[in-house]
Amino acid sequence: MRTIRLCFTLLILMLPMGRYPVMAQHTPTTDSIVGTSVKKGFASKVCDYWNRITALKETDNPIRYRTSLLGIGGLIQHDSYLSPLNYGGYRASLMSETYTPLSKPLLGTSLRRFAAELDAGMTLNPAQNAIYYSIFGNVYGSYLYKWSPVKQLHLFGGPGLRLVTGGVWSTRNGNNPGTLRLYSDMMAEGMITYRLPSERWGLLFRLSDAVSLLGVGFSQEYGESYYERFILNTQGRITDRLYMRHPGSGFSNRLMLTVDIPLLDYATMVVGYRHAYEFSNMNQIHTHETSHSLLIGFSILTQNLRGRKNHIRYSPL
Amino acid sequence: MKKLSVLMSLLLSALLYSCSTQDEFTANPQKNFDALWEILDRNYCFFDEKLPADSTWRDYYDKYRPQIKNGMSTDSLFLIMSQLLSELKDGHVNLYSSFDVGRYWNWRDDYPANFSRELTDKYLGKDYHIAGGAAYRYLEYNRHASDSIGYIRYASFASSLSHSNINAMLSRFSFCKGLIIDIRDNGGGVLTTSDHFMQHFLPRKTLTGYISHKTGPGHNDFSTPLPIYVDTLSGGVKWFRPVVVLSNRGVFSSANDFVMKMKPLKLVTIMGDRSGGGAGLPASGELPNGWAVRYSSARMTDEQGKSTEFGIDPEMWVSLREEDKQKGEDTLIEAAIAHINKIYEEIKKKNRN
Repeated sequence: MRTIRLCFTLLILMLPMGRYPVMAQHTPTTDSIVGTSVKKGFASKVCDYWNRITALKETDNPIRYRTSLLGIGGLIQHDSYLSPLNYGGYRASLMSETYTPLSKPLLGTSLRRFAAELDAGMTLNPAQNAIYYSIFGNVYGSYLYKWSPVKQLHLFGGPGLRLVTGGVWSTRNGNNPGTLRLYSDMMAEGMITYRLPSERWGLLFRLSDAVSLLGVGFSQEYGESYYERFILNTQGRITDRLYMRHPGSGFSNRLMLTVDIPLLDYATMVVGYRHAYEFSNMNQIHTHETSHSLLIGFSILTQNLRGRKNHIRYSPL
Repeated sequence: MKKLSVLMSLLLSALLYSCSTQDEFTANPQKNFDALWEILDRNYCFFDEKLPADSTWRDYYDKYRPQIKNGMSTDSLFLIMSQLLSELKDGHVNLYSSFDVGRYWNWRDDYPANFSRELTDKYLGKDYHIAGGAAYRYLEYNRHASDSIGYIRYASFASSLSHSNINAMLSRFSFCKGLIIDIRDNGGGVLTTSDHFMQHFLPRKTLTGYISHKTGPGHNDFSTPLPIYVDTLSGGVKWFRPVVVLSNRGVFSSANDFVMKMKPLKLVTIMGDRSGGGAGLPASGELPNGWAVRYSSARMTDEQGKSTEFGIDPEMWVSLREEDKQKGEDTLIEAAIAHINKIYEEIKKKNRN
């Protein structure tokens, strides 16, 4: 009896799956999802869902939005491994962002965001007689799903991943002159954009925020020297000191507000503000960095004409 | 556009000004004393070895803190802080200001020097060679030319000494039957140089000691000791003939480490006085008034797990005698020559049998 019931259950599950290849041949629309969902079996829905995720790809010859920004601002740093004091000074940043529209999205239109940042800092202790030099590289990748409640207003949100590497160098310390930072985080990102409904002054306002959720990072132990970790140790120099990052042990937030200003027909200038915050608390070593930067740069729209298909389709020759 | 530039300049100025920590500066004597005591309390690694058994670090806070008064002079504050640090009797513990360095040097100054620069200069002569930070020559002074012994004077591990420097020296002593390495009054420097130097005398990869760092601010929070191995050279000049390392109380930190690592080697003899110690790996911190503090943060031991913080006993105790000094002879170098000759004869005899 149990065998018959099992076969019957499998048959029920197989039936909708058998219909799946036919469904997959059509590009499903939001309407068709709603209209047919009640008729689908569970397995079919799972396959459908999987198909939609894996079907994410660039639209045919997409137009990308790119910004290149230079940031200059103030930085406050603390690293208890190097000093119990806070250091304050300047930070210069170079940032580049690319938004690529994707077709066949899971929920309406979506964008793929790729961003890279290079931050260089110079800070002084309260007595102004010691300096930290720091340099950090950040690479972000994320998928942002788009909702448009009003014509000119768009909301974006989605998951992301980032990789950070860099370090801080103290001019004062002898055997503990620097710290290495190496971590990767899963991020939650959100963005609101609003474009003024004006042909001549179509300013684009953009407010975005990215916070870290979970990740993995490197941290030496409380009093462990890099001499011991990287010279005397012969195995597991990095891997033995990895820790799980969560908002209690490692957290970051990037808040950015920018305005795209079209300069007649020549270019689009971008000005803005960025607040960046990094925090970690592991092995009783506390670090935090807060910076406020003024951003200035340009945004452009690009279209990729490389490749066999595009060359045939768009070449004027 | 002009208005935008002005606005951005104002904003930028505000951002830059807001990110200064100058307002956290304080010259308040109590706050700085407390900060100093706390840095040591959380990070120093030799409390159990340095303080008398019936006292704690808190006792020294209670002893010196009442002497810290508002309005006291900077010099007085510096003096009391230096006195507090001197209680640890550690050459790696220092207080640095723009006008002075607080230090404890009694590990060296309370003992006979057993070293005379004038005498070593006589043995080196005027035509000695220099390889990196080391001076060297084939010994001829005091009718020692026939002894065929090489002499290396290395005064500081802070001076560079590369493998190619060491190769150059040893290859020029290839006809010598033995070698004297004089590191008296070598106050240390770069720890890896100690390893580079001793690699030329190692027959195989060898366990040379252990290191243990602090895992938290508690006085007994230490990591499992990590074994330190030094490998022999894969290429270059190796020396497997008798070696005498001359040591005195001025041998400290990485020079002490060199003595510790050379001592177990079969053909090496440590001669002279006990070394000065300094087996802690130093780290740095700073005070709100801008003074810096250095302290021992990780403890290193020999290959048997024994502390060398208070120095290493030589295998042959030899002191510099005043009468030898008057004759222009360095008792330690003379004893080293005699010892190498003796060992060389023993080896020769053994090989003959």
